[in-house]
Amino acid sequence: MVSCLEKLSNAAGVGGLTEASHLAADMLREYCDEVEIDALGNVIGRKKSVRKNAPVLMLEAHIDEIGLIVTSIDDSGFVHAAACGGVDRRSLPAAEVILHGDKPYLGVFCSTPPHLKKKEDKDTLPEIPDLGIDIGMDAETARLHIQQGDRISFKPNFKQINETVVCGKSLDDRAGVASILYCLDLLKKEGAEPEFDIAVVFAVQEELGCRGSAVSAYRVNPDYAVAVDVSFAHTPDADCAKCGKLGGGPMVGWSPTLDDAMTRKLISIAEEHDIEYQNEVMGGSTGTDAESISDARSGTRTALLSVPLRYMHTPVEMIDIRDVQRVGQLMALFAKRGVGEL
Amino acid sequence: MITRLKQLCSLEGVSGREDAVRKYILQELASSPAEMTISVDALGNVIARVEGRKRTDCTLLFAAHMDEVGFIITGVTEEGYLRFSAVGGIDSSVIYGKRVKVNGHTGVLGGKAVHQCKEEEKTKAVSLDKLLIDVAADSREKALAIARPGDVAVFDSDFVNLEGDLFKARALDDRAGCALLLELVSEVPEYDITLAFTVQEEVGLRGAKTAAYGVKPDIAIVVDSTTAADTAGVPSDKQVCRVGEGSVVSFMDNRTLYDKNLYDRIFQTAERIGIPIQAKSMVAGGNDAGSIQLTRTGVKVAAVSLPCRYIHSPSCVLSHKDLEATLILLQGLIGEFASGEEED
Repeated sequence: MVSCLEKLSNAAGVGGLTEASHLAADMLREYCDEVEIDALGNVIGRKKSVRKNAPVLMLEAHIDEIGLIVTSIDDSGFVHAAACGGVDRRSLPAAEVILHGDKPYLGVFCSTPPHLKKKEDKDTLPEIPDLGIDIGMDAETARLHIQQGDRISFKPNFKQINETVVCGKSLDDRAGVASILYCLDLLKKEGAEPEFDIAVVFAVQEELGCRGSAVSAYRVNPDYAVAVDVSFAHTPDADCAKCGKLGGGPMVGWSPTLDDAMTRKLISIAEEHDIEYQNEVMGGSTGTDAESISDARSGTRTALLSVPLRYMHTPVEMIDIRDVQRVGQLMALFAKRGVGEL
Repeated sequence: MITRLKQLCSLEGVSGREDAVRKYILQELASSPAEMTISVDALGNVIARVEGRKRTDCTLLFAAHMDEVGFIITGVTEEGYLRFSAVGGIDSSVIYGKRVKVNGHTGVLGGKAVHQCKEEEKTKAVSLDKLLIDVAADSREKALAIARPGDVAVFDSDFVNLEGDLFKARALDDRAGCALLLELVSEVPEYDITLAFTVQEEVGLRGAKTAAYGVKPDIAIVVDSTTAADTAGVPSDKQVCRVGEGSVVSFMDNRTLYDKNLYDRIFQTAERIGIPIQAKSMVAGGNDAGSIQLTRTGVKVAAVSLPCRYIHSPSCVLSHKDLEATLILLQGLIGEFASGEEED
């Protein structure tokens, strides 16, 4: 699990980059009859059930990550960039990044020295495009190797912190990808015959507005779907009521946009098998691919499981691998159980 | 020199905890071909009186500090997070979303997700006193097994080359100065010199005070790193100095008015050798020269610094060329100052 997460976290997958999708597709091949990559870059794998006319269950996680995109190179050779997804501006000064030019280049986000800060706005951070990235090149050299539109990802930095907690970039949502791979691995090892035709989707462009999942759900046309994403794990400065607990198990989503019967079913399976879980109740949009899947074509019954994660959209996202495993277990049990009374 | 600098940057040495750096320096001094008398004073400064090929009446001191900015653990919360204070001047804006190392464990500096922030919170640096170090301990007891009050932490940042002439690491301020001083005695220097590797620079230029008292120098040259603000969007009059354009010589900073004669002779020496050199074009910052100058009955001081971008952050950036040029300059200054031939 840790080495799978390490590979996934360290791969680059800012909207438009394909390293992470290709890696995930390779990992998926072991468990699927076929794996394809569609026009937008979504990875779609299918595993047929032995049962004829089995309903289609789509297991989905997004493969993209937050990052940046090059907008200009100034006359001193500093690279300026816009956010590609909701990157946390507070984590950028002095952060290390990889610029995906004609080859990968290491860069460091500029930080303003204290003597240049005015007292009254000393804590205000420059806008992202004004920050600038130092790549150690003059303008002429920089413009030779890096073009407008090139993507920028955080430097690979995966690290295991203790027996169960890991930290790195892009765990949103490589944790979800890993949980689906874990689910497939459980089913394979048990020699289980799921009640569903399983379609796995690792979707692109979630961070840009849940775009990849919309077209992949159209293609797969599932009867049921489980979206796996990450959600807020509590830190001392946050509101307990709005957060889950790191290591407290899958956060099972409740929302008007989700299918209550599926949600209840997942919870009853968790309780039956003593799988720790926590409820995450949202009044409307979940802000995840669950919505774009549920309203694809004429609609899909969709549930949402989230891995609690600290420091979302920074280079130091933190998760507990037990939560990833529990999400995988829960999906595997659901796949074996079938829809029954649903 | 660069191999040594990499090794020096791999060592942790927050002010007051310079032990690992001191041990390394003592070991490297022992392997120098030059004869020298080495002492360590009560505060932990390493002082090496080095015999050159020629004797001199001038006690010429080169000083670089061993310590670095970092964090000190002040307590542990019930939830298992570490409270801390900064040791030295660390700007709030560069620590959020970064990792630290504490007693070999990884810690994370962060807060609630940006999605849960109010609009005005999203654009402001989180102040240092609002942050905690997350060591993924889920109880006070587990956190205490990792770190106890009084333990220290450093940025988790490796030594790595950028594409061209520049490289990035933590603690380049002032391990680069330490590496340069060690390089001065990798061969027998032309004249007798004294080296001081000082402690506690980042918390008030404290080690240099006792070191200089012990050495009684006639002339002291502080070798440090200084802010290069030649970065994105900074106008040229605010840049202080520029990376890649040679050693930086100070005429004045917040702690010292430098000796004008030494200042001029450093420029003349660089011009004679034909290496780049620049003036520190802003009165800002301060270094060990501040306390050395006021030692006993007073000492003539100069500062030769490396231009360093993002100083006191996890990602300090220096230039290989500047490092090489500074070594050549310092070697030249031994002849210039220790020969005893005063120029007017």
